[in-house]
Amino acid sequence: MTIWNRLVRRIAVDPEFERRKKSLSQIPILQGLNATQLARVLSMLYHRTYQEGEAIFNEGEIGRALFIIETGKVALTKKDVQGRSQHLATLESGDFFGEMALLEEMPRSAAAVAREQSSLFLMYKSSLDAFVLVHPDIGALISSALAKLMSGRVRMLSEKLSSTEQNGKTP
Amino acid sequence: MREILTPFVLALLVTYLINPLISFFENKGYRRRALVAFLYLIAGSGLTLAASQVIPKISHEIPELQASLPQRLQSLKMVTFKTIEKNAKRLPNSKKIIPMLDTKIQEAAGWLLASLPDVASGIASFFSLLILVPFVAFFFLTDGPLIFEWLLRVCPGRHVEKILHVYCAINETLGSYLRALIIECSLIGALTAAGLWWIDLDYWLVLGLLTGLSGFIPYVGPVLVGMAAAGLALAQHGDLSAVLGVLAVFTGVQFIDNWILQPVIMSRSVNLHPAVLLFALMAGGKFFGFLGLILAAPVACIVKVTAQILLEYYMTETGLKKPPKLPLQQTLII
Repeated sequence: MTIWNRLVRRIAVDPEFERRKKSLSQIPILQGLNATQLARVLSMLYHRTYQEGEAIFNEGEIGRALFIIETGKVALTKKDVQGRSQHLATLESGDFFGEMALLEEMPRSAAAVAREQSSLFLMYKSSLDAFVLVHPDIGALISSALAKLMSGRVRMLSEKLSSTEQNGKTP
Repeated sequence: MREILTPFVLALLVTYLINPLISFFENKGYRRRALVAFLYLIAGSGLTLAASQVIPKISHEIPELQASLPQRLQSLKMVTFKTIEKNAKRLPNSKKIIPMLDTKIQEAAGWLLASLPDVASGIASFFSLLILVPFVAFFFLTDGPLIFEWLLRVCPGRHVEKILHVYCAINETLGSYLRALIIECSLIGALTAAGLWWIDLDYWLVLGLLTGLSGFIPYVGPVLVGMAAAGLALAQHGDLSAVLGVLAVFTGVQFIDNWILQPVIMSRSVNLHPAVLLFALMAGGKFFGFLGLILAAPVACIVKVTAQILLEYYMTETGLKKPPKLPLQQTLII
């Protein structure tokens, strides 16, 4: 690489962009995308850092965004019938949550709280809707990945339900 | 206050127009600051070249207009008097009307001649804006996303989605409205200039430019420029057929605007009811003058979109509006 090219690269190229693109490539629903497509996805994402213990969203609020964890840990909790908070899962770097908000604007089924300082990407529903109109190819890949994920979860839930029913029948 | 706000509002407008281009290249991995600096270099060179061609033509037309104004007003006076004399039988007070009109025309001529230096000083302040607006827009373009990131950082985590909802909706509406308006105004200006040149009216370029700029003030702007052009046509040609020609050009352009440009270009921007738009124009004009007239439509768009979203949140949170339920009974779990 010549000195001129190095100089232009140093002045014009944004290293933070490359770093974020690389961390996005690890996310399961975005793994089918190439470098150009990932860059386009990155353009529609918002970024925010949450402090330890900060609420990301509460149960029952209307959801309109999917959250992707770049760094940090996020706890998902759900209130039981007595109103006590039950821990569902702790998600880490590379995981994502709130994906149902991309499919339907329904109340959140769980609450999310940052367990430690966490850097999150937000994929906002209306941004994704507008993005899909401009880049249907990327939209199709994301939708397909989301559909596979949801299908897997439904399968897992029905298996769980079936085993619970069987256990219930066992004397 | 108005003088302070003007460059910032115009800079915001410029930012909105240029930002998609900057974002396009930013999403290819280039630094925002480097892109803005490069764009300024290119645009600066291009505008200097264009200005060197257009400004001499316009600056030549304004002194020419000032020099020929008394003669043109005289011929306008003669045409009006002849018309009144011709119809003297139908107008019982024609003898009183002529001296009264004469005095009024003299007063108007005096006012016009006196206000032309103000036009020159207006052009000087326009040039100061020409430097100030790109300067402010540079910082909006380079630091705009940082301002939004700061806003997201300081607002409580659980309200981030609401802020994003309002931001996305305003951004989408305002951006598409302004971009559509610029394209529409440029086409209206170009069509009017071509039409006025075709009917052989002097100052067609200035009038075309003014018509394009007046498009930022819905309804009112083009009517005012049309009236001025009709007066100029009567003064230049001395007969009503020239006025009819001007009216035909302006009506034709308005027809093209309403039936072709607006449905094609403005269809993606916010649909404001004409009554709401008129109310916004009157309120904007009353409280902020000329700047208020320009800002009335985009501010009305922002208010409409924000009110819609906040009302939706209020209705959902208070239970007035139930979230849609999926037809779960029809969902087959395999």
